[in-house]
Amino acid sequence: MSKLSELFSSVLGIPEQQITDDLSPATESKWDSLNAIILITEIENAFGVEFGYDEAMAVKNYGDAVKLIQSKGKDPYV
Amino acid sequence: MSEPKVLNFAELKVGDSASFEIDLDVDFIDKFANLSGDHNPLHTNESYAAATSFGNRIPHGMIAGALFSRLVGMELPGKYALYIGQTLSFRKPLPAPGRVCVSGLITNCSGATRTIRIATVVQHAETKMILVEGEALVRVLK
Repeated sequence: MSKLSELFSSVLGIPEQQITDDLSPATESKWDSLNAIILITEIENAFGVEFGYDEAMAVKNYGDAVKLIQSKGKDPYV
Repeated sequence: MSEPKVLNFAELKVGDSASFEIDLDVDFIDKFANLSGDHNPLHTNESYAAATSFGNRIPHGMIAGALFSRLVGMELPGKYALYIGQTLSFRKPLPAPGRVCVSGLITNCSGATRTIRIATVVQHAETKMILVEGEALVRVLK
């Protein structure tokens, strides 16, 4: 378990065990438009990073979020 | 029909605000009752409301929600607003008849999501007493 998976679990209200790189709005109905915004802002706060609009909109699944955080020089698996 | 303001995300910043005043009366309550289908007697029945602790008909609290919709859709940010969410706390009944001031103050701008958070308040226009407050989450489409 990691800070990022804990964050997704908390925002989406799902067990961390359900969180895989393929988790997306298509596979999880709780990943709706409101929670998508909350996820991005919570990730920014949790990892001390800022995303551009195009970067944030390119996050289509959990794996994309992992890569985006790594691209900012942060470790999503802490 | 008035036109909404046209503010894009880049033009908005924390601390920006907007407000308007509006008169409320029993006709306004009746129109909202018909629009929403909420004909609860506390809002619509004079004799019933007179027997309650309020003493007379009081406006629906969700009228404040409608006024916040006007604030967001017409004033802050206006045309490019996409309402995502709104919290509401009903502190005191809206006056009818009476004049209220509806205002909003941007408290956060997220460039990653092009969303703004707006502290929204309805106050009595004369006493400035806070009647309803909440927070709007709004995506700015351009």
